[in-house]
Amino acid sequence: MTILSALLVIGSLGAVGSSWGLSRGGRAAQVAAAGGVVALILVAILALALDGSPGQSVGRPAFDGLLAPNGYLRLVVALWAIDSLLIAAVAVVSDGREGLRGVLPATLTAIVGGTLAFAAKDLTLAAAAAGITGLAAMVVLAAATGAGVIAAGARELRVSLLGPALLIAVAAAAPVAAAMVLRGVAAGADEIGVADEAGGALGLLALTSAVAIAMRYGVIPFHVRVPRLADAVPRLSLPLLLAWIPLPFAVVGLTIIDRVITPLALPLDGERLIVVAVVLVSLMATALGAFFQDDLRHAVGYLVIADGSLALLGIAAFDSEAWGPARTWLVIVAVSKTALLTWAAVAEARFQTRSIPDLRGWIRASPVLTAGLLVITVATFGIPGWKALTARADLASFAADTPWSWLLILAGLATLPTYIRLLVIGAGSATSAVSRAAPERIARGWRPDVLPVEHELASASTARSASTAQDETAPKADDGSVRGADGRESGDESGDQAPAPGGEPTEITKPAASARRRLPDRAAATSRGAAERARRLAAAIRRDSALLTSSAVLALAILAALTSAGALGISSAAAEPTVIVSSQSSD
Amino acid sequence: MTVILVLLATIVAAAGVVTVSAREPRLAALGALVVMAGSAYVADPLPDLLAIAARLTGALLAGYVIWVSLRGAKTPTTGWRIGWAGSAAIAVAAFTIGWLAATALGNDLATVAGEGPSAAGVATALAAGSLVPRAGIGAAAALVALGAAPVLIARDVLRLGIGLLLILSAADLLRHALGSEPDSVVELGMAVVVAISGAAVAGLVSGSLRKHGDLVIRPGMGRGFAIRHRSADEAHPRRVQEDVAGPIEPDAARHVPEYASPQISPDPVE
Repeated sequence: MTILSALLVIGSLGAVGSSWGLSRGGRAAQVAAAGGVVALILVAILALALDGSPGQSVGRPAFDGLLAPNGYLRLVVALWAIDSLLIAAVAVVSDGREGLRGVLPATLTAIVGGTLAFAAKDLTLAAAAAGITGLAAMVVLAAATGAGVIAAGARELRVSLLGPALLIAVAAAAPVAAAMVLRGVAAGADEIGVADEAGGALGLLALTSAVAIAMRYGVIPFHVRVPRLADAVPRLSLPLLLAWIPLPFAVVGLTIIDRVITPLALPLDGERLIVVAVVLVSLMATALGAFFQDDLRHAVGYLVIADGSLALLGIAAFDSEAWGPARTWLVIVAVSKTALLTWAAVAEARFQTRSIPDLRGWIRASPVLTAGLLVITVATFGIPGWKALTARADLASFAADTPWSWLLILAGLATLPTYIRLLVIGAGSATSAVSRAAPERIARGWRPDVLPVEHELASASTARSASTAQDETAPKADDGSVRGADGRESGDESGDQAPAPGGEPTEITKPAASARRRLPDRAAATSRGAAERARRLAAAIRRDSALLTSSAVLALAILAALTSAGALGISSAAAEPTVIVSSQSSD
Repeated sequence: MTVILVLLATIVAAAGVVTVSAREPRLAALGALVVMAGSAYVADPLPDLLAIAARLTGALLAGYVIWVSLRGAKTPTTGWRIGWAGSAAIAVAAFTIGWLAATALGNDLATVAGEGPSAAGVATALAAGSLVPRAGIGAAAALVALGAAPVLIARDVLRLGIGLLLILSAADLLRHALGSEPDSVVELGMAVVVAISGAAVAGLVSGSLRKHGDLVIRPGMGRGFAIRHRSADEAHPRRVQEDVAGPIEPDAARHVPEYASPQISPDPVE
């Protein structure tokens, strides 16, 4: 079995298993969640194991040579899996195991579909695989329970099935039209009319590809789907649905153009003008929409649309030189918008609001989250010399001539005020939503300020459970343990004082140490010790959840910045030629 | 064989008419099944046995899950408002246009096929004058014409899903008509896509029936849903949260700061 086959098998098994188990709850859900996360880790490791020099096919082909691993696949799938792992960690910390339901199986499904799309050597197969990737969104929607899920699902289904159908049709028709152009030109003046007609048909097919990609990214006029989807699904599924799922689809669309239409060097100025105009309108309108939008999810959704629409310039270029920058930009969009959407999800969860005005003052209690947003902003726009900025400039210059290319570059920067707005609002005085949120700090030695009555209840219940446990295990023990309100054992080392049920301080005795020594069954003691450690870990994670989720966002942002800077070898991987060598209809 | 395949293409187009105009949901699902299964075989030459079996399995799976998902559906649905006759007329017109376009394309391909760069494998059957790809393109045009309305102005999830499956089948027919020899692995991939697409449609249908009790697509969230201004209800964040995202689930509720409150025990009976 090749590495690629193993990756596909593990991803598929993880998707099926986690989908089945997480919907059942209980022990099955625990196992499924763990299995899904392990599958994600293995997928990341296997993707990285597809070792090879950039620009060349890496690893051995799979499935009778129909799938060929390549450097771009390796980079994208590894980044996708690592990002997904960080998102899964955020989901577990903030929402518990329930946070993985729908998201984890959909992620694995999409990664499998995306891998197939990147590795397929046949255009139809690649388009079909991109279609499967899109349908992963339905897995998320099937697990969602909010209002408007069916309407959002209907929109998502439309895009997920119509898009692949369009790409499959284009992949079938484009080689026929291209062959007619070539033969007509070769036949001379008698058949030049046929060549012209076929050239026009190719222009229409290029526009169809652009429409399919625009639908997937939600480019204007297909933007209504994105905010509706953002309203309906769990917040942590948005990075998958808006940032990653469109990536394989866009790559397949670009491949059709680059492989079939671009080599003919047809005069497709009209088509170029249409696509550039759509991109320009989309960039300006979504930037304005994001700036004036008060709903955080909608605002970041518009930011994704704006950056995604720039990818259409790769089609408008009709130039093989645009192949590399376009694929580079697609990866940068995916990783930077993943970090942004996760930032928005964490902010929403922490401050319990989606309203941007209600987030006023968020920076004060969230320095790590602030650092995350700053790094995300830099990763999105890049600085001179970074691949992000170079790709923006290259795409604009390939798609349009000088004055218009500058306009495209400036329009691409029009989303910057929205990031600045988020930071400026965060620097204001805190609203009540922000004030009551848990701050970011390591709270290991910190005791929460709680009312005495909570101590009383917690102590009473814990004392009851402790005495019950002692009755069962060590009836003669005289050292009952008292636990704090946060669930931790108190007084392990220091012999702290804690209020007793009656409100008077009582000496906290050493918890289980002496009782454990008297246990007849050492295995049971070990098991209880492990359970206790797990409980302590869970309590610590809950206590430090603010810091942990912010750290995950910062990690995603740093990964995005590294990608944006070109530190991961993205430009060489993106510039390598496509592995697609045939289509159903090409020679 | 050619006559049978041309007849099959006609049956596919007729099944498309049944699919979009039937008011009985399960009849519509049956029509979609015939379309999905039939469109896989309107090819010259035919795919090999493995591909035929895979495509049949994929179509049957897709049709079966849609059929099962319609168990609780109230009947009849609205269907296409132009009725049987209207949709049949549209299908006939589109089929004819597709056939004529395919004929013209085949003639052009045959005319310019002599000299020039080789493009062997491009629409060979069409260029050779076979009737099967012409019928295939005709059926594809009919399916696109029939499926466009439910897809673009969908009012219920079943019509939308079935319309999308018709368009996917049309793309498949076009691929066969303009291609050369069908590839077994590609056919297997298409079978998987058809099966998963059917499952996605079925999932949406069953979700709609479970949630709303019918198949109608409701906007669900109107203009009032989105946050467009600062909420004035800061004193009741929980209520604002519920307005935005629906009732707070127990899992989500634990993120709302909870303040200790004494347990109120019921008064003693005595």
